[in-house]
Amino acid sequence: MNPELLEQWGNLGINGLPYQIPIHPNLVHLTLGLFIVAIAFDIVGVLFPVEKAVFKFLAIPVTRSALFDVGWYNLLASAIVTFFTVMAGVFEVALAAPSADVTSAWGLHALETMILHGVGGVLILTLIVGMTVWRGFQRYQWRKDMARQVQWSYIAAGLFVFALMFVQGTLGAHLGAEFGVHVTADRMLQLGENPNQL
Amino acid sequence: MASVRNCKKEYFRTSQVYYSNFCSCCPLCFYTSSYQSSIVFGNTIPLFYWHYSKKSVFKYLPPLNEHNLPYPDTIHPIVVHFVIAMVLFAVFCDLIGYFTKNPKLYEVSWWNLAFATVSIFISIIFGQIEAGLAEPYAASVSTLNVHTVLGWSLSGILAIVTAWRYVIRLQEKPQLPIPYLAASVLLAGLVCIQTYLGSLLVWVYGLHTIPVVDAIRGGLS
Repeated sequence: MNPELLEQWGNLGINGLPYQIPIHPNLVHLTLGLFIVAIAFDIVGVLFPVEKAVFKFLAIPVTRSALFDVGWYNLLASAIVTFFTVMAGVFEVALAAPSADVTSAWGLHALETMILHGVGGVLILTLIVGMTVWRGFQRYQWRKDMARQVQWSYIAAGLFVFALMFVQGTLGAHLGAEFGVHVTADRMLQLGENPNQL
Repeated sequence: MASVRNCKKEYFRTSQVYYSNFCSCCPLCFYTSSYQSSIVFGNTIPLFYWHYSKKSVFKYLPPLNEHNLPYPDTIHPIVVHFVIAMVLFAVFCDLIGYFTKNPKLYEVSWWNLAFATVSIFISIIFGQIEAGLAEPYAASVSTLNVHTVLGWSLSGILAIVTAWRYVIRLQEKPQLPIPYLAASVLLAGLVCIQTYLGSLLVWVYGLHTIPVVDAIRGGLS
């Protein structure tokens, strides 16, 4: 962002944020954890006939519909949380001031990484919300009375989003751990200070 | 033992490019650097790594990259998604389920807890490897120690809460007991504290970020 605009904040920390640790990466825990586990439990639900013996062997009582409940409620929570994840991400990327001369492990500069991560974030939010609507139709309308609550194509779409999330997550990791965006110690080193002063 | 006793920090630094420049309590030679006085279990790993890399099959371990890792990026912060999100969502579902008397949410909560319990042990394994390879500089050591101790403690607490939940679930009671709810809220609180400490290590102290790894290789201690 324009350095003069940044100055209007007045009390930004060394990390470039008005608070100690960035919020976006912490909300990402919720988005990814909830989404991945939602799809994982739908897969477990779909493959239930195969796994019955395993659950019996482990002495864990299980009903197929409960596995799909996890798939649904976790996905719903992920869809809601992800709006806040994207919101926090937009705010914090606006305050990012990475150096221009660094290249990431994927050969990208900071600006390209930030743009791809931003576009990816909105894309994944759209896909999560779309899949939640799709999942809701399967659960409450199309497959209401079926033992297997989700379509194979839904599982495939979930796995595709996993792949997108891997790319998105790596880009985000590059922003923090390679470009040092909002990392206090990295900013201090850039200013020629010793992080032991922290 | 004589040669091992010589393993001063500088000796590590000059003798091997990658696994050399760290300093902590070494389980083989008992060398302890000046600032490292506490129980960071994780720091034992790279020393083993270093010692064994000199002699045995461990010398075939992959070299460390610019994050000081043998693989591209940190894995621990990824695996902890499945502890943080699942524990917090489980407790959330318990509370909503308690007040709305929706038994479906109790099942959602149980499966999330079970998933979190498996995940926490995997995240501890990666946490130990990455804490060990972090070569923390003085300012970050105490945070890393607290994060390590709380992480191991949480594995025990989470396993106990999940076991307790397993028994409650077998009893098929319509409502959760209040002591259980209290314990799970406490668990959620500890998870939040642990997440905060981990965030400090990454976003304030910058462990495993390239600029900090560069500085440590250049002598920051």
